[in-house]
Amino acid sequence: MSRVKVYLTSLSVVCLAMLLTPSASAVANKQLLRVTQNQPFQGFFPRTWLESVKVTEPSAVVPVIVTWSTDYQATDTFLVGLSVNGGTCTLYGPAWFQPFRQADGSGDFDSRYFQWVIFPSDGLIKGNNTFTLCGGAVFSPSAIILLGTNTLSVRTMK
Amino acid sequence: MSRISQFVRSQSICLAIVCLVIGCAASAFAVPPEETLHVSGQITFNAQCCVSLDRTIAATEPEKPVPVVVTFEVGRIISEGGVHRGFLSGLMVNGGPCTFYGPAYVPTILETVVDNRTFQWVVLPSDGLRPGTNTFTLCGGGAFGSTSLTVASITMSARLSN
Repeated sequence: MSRVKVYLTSLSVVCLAMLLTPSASAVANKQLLRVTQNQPFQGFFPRTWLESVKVTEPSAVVPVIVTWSTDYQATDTFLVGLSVNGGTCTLYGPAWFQPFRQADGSGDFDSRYFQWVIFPSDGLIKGNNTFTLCGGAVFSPSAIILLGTNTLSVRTMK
Repeated sequence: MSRISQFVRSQSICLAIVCLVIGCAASAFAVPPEETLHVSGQITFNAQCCVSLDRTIAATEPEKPVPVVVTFEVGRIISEGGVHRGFLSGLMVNGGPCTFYGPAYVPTILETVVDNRTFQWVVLPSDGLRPGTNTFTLCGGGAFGSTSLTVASITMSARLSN
């Protein structure tokens, strides 16, 4: 009976781990993330767009460069930024998406490439730092952006 | 005379050492040419996805391969034509199948508009990287049929992740 309980507990842990793990089509290497599944987002700026990467800072914290490259369709104008270590969604550089197609995944996509520079004064800390995508619509809460295949990377400046 | 000769000799040796150090430093910071590619002048790709587009760069992996970040930039998209619109771009790693390692769409552009697009692709060791030289060949073509894409320049670079 206790063995069954152990099995059930193990199974629960495995299921929980599977639920918490990003989708199977996403591959991550802490500093690098590649997502190959379309993801729709709706609502006013700012909301979390879930994807994140991490980098380890030395004792003397140095600036980092975050690069995001994505295919997309959007029904209206959108902004994208970063939440550093769980802080507020901030624009650290170029941020705009122009409307393109119907955000339903049909037809072709447009693509965008963003490079953001984060300074120590922006909230970087010694040790692990997390950078999470965030964004949202500028004019309409019903606007939808469909993110296609995309990559997110972070590296420290040497 | 002997003193002058000694002085000149010692100064020459110092100068030679300085030149050697500067030379070594410069070469240490130089990017290996095989990791980058820049082609300018009107370039036209005419294909249906997915075929090799005949532009290749290489990166040398250590004994234990690490991810490679490949950046591809098309400068000044001049025109995209054909019955079908939408041009896809991807990579063939070490001569393997054409695969999308990130965003792929060079968008449909009106003929009067000029524009640039840049793509960051992440290639992982599990994608077929191996110790030593690895090649990355641009591939792609029309998403929905044979499509022609004309650009003013293309740039490719490969960087081992740190």
